[in-house]
Amino acid sequence: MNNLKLLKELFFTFVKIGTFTFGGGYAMIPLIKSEIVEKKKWIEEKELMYILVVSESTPGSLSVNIATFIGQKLCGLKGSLIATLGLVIPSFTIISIITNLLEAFKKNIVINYCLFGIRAGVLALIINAMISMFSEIDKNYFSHLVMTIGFILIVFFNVSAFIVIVLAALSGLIYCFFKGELR
Amino acid sequence: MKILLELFLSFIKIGCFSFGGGYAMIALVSEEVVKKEWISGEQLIDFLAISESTPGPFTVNASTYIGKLLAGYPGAITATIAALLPSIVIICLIAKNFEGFLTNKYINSAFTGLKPVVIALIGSAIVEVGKNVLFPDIIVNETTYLSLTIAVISLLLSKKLNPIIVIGLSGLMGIAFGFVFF
Repeated sequence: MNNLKLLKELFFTFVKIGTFTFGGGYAMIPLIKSEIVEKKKWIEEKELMYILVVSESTPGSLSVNIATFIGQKLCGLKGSLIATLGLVIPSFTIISIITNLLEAFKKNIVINYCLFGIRAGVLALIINAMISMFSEIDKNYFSHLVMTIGFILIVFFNVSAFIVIVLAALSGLIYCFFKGELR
Repeated sequence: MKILLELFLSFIKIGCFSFGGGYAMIALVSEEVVKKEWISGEQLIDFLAISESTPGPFTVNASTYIGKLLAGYPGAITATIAALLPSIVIICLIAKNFEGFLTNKYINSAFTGLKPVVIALIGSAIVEVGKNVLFPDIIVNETTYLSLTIAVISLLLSKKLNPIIVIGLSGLMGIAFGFVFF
């Protein structure tokens, strides 16, 4: 049965992704690109951009939203649940086990060094995410302005991401209105 | 039983209000669990350290940890489902009607602004993570240089290699450098 096979693949793909997504949703983007856009060809890079925009602008973890979205797109409601389940099972399992072994985990030197390395790897992945997504946006004065002002507001003025997202949406509306695209 | 209901309600609240990822969510969760006096300050610090170190979304790590602490596996499952529910509902609604969503001229206009802001958000994540990775002790020290080396090597490797392998290799580099230099 095609559908069942797809659901199984969806599940295992997200288990794989969920196991290696350290450091949040942005670090997941290169993994999605590699496993889902390039390998499975379930979505195109352009679509990933839109999925990212929506997933960021709605409540909930970025990574969960992305998984739910892709699952839904592929296989409807069942897909969304299966993909989300796949994504969270690794962390659920690991945390459940660790809660009892907390002290040992904290003190284990190999684990600590390993995590130290992984954190640096995560930085590289997030930089990659930015490079991929940057190539997907139109480059014009407006977009450069939004990117720059958004960045400055968040990093230097500590404005919350939510507010910046709302402002960006509003700016988009105003910009298109003045361009005459909104009648 | 009562604790399960409380967990469920708290995490639904967290699920509805965590926007923008990362540190905002951490603040939200911390506030809620400290307010409810579910864990001590020290347990919170332990947990924050762990959730930076385990894969997976922070909110899920939090719901699993706190749920388990308070009510074992039933607690962990209840809290996690609660945390995921709001986003699943909202995303499914949007994804289902995505075609219509994308052709709506207002949504499209909003996207003109929202797409570039994604770059701003990723940029800010790079700054945050960069600060923590390169300057965990605030000053520039050997940790800075070693982290920077691993980050640069990972960045170069990621041009050719699958990101999962890059993560694995960065972990190995961490172990190797750690034993050699620390």
